[in-house]
Amino acid sequence: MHSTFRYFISIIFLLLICSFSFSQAKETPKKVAKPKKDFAPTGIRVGTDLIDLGKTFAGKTFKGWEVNGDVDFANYYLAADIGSWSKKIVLSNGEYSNGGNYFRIGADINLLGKDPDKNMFFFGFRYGRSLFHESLNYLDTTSNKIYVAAPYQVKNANVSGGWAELTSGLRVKIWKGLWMGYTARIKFAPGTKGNDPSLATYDMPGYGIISNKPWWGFNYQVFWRFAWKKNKPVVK
Amino acid sequence: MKYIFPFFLCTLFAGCFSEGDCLISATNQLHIQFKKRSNSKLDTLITFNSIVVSGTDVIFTLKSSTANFLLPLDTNSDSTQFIFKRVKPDNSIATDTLQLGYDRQGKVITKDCGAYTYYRNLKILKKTSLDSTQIKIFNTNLLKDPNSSAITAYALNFQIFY
Repeated sequence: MHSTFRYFISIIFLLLICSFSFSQAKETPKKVAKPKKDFAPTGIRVGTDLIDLGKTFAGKTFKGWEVNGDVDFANYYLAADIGSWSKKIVLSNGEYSNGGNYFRIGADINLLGKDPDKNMFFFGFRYGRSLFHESLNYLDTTSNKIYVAAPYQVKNANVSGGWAELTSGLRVKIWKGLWMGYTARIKFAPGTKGNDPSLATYDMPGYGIISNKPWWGFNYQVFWRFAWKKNKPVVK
Repeated sequence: MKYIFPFFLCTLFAGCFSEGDCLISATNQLHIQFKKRSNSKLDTLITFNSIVVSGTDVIFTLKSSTANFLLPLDTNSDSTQFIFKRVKPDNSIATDTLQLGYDRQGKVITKDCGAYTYYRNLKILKKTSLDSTQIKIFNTNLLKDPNSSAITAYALNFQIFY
């Protein structure tokens, strides 16, 4: 009898221990507070487009440069570009030339947010503005032969225009502050104002041939990053 | 199947870089149609002794009666005057004058196709012996279908009712 009682007590005790341990297991683990994203910028990256420089030194029809910069806010970047280009295009029946300055401003999102070096594969958008002039000299060859074809000289002295872009690209840290990368752009919705009715605007610095909607662009860039704060991997 | 992606890429880039044919829709030819005043849907055949166009010494003469024709705008001026010597049903000659104003716009098509002048915003500056109900403006831009040289390939600019 005594041994039966002891056996019974042991089973109850065992069941209690089991139920206690199960209830412990079911308890949800304590949530660890996610560290907040640090949006304070850690540096500024300044660079230039090598393709524009290459075209300027290699050819005679294009002269231009572009300076690109961005500042990080966690995995978001404020990006800005300024540039200038002039073109001299020999046409089959004349010559077209233009020149002007432009800027773009926009934002990128880095999809490699956890990368400790802040290497980037990004998507973004830009809004661009351009201020330029253009001139066209040509001999119209379509007109009826009864009129002697006279050379036309027309120009737009002061035109302003704007457009929008969707961008994507890479930025890779090469060594210390040296970065390289590319930006591919789809440019769309170009618009101009201030042009003379005697000349249809043809090529807008920063955008390209206006009748091409949408148009594309590509920059191969080299940067130097001036960091004032050590990179921290961004928490997603 | 494995060739689809390279083919797609080639097509995409060919589309980006191909200049294509030079399809020029610019013209200085004004397209005029003649309609019956009593029924504007019906053509009327008009006989002209001569048509004098400003800016040139050439005088146009038509061998037969016509219901529509093309006349050139002066490529070196922003206006052109036409003097029509028209044979009336009683064989007497009537003189109608029409002076048109327009904007000329230079436009680069492509580097290889070149630049051309487009004539736009056509308006009547002066007319004699034609009242305003006799002229209907259809299209204020001069354009032509680059794939055809028929008179119907030119955008209709005016209808004149006799």
